[in-house]
Amino acid sequence: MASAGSGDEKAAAAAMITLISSDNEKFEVTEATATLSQTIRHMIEDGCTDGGVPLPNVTSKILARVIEYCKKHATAAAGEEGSSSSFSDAAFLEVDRAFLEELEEFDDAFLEVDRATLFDLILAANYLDIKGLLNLTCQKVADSVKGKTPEQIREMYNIVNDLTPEEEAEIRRETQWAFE
Amino acid sequence: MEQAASRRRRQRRRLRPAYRISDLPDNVLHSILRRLGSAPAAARTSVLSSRWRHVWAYLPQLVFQDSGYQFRNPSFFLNSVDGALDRYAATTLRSLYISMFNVASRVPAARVSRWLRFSSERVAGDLLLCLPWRPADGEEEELELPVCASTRTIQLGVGHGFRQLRLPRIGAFGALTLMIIRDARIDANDLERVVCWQCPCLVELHLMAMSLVAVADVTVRSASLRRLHFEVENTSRLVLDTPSIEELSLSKVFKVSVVAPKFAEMIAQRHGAAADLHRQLLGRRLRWLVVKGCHQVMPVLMRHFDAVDRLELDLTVSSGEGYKTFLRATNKLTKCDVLVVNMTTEWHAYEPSLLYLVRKSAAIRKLVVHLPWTECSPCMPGCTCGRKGSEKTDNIKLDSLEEVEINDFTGEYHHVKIVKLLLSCKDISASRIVVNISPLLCSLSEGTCQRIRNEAHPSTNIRFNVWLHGRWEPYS
Repeated sequence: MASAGSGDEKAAAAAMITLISSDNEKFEVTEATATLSQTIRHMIEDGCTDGGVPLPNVTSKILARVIEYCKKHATAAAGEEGSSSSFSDAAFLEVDRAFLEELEEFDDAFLEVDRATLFDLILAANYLDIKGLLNLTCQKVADSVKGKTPEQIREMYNIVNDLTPEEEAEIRRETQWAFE
Repeated sequence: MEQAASRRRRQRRRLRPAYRISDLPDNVLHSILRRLGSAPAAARTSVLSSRWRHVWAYLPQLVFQDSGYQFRNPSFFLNSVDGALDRYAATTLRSLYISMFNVASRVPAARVSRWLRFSSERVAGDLLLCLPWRPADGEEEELELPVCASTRTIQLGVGHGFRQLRLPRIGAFGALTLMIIRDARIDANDLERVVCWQCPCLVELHLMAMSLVAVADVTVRSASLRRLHFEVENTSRLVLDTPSIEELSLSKVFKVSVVAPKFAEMIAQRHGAAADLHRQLLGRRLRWLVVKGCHQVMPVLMRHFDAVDRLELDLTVSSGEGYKTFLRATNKLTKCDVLVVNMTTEWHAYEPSLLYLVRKSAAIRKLVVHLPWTECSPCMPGCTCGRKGSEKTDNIKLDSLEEVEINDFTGEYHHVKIVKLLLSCKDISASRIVVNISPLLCSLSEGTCQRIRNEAHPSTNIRFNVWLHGRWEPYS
């Protein structure tokens, strides 16, 4: 993968940023893609991205997925900015609508992952501070929990109940109003 | 006992698989629990394990909604709010939403007061409280809103279950920028005091379907207020002293006066300010002006405001003297960019009134018309509308008109008649025309579109839209 080159090369690719995963794999992305992450945006603003941005909490497998998400949504963000000035134009609305639908489809497909990957994506989104991705992944978990009993949630997410029966009874007494 | 429990906990922890929801940090768990959209559902996770026991109690947002199946019994709903607020552990809550609009029973004022007291002490962001709209019979009590010093927005739907909403006598809503109150009976002094003195940062105020406990004048004096929606019955006169106002909506107000800025302030602002900006600073230019009901307030408003981006009129024209007084009241219209005619209250002599308003707004770029549901009410003896003479369109000049939007079209005879009448105006016919078919219909009778098209100039660009799948689609 590409790494930081000579001064000339750097100038030519001024808007490129190198991200380095925990297993030392390098990913070259545009600044527009990278700055969907507030964490990276702040690093760029502080000028600490020379020689790449090490992300010790994110594996290459997860980072590749995160970049896939950011690439898609960075184009969406750019599109929104471009069309805002001519919102009354029907043709533009048509394009926007199609694009938003496509984006929704992308998001749905993107979430088709196993639970371990989903949690890794959540942790990465939280660490990199990518609001859209965090919302998307948390919504997925929330939807799966909605309407379930505590027993079903424990089973679904392998949550080990480490409460003694007495403790559990006490909590249920305290929060009886939530179970009515 | 304690020791045995903690030993068991340690052993279990060692056996756990690599990826677990419980390993997510608190802020992420909050983000998940928040999306359940229900504080009781979030609180139920406290029995999952020791990790989860207190997570919900620090949620930045608590939501209670009566729409969930679990709240069929109203007392469960009240208990859940009481219980959650009692157990809430963080010192401040960003937002509290309690919506029990559809609950049919009366909520005791003492209970609501406890929630409001909690909000006053702990809610730093948004408070929404929507009480039962039409509770079953019972004794009406008073409700008091305490001072909420750090709350940013308050939305209060009082419903029809309380005799009066009292506002605090002392203290400031120091952070409040938005206040919406609905369906409450209120004392004029309470209202004036809070708006004029106790909300120094208020930007947006909506008083909807409200009424004063006794007929009185109301003064709204606020340097910060930019948007005002005023619908308060029993207001004998509304006095506006709002130099920063940008959007103003008056409903059923019979008399209004607008306080012009003091001379000294005018001099101070004239220095260094461009003429246009200057006018804006003096509050003589509005982005949005909506007048509903009484047309008697029109002359004062039209005199005070020099320009409006969007002027929306929903005026009452009653039979008898109504049309004559309407003509007098709307004789001079403020220059506007978009004119919206939305006569839904009482429209006698609809066509001539519509044409009269259009004729008076020669500089508009866009005209929006909402068609009336039924035909005009018939003339009473001695009616002043003189309908026939006023339906001429050849003297209407709209040089800047680009677009006409006609809404709620059903294809009924009186609708077709109105559209044809509009199209007989040359400048309207030459503009871009969009006809939105009433969302209650999905199609029109055969030939209606063609009849309308035939009426228009051959070069007229006329498009019909139909409401499908939650949006406007071209209708062919």
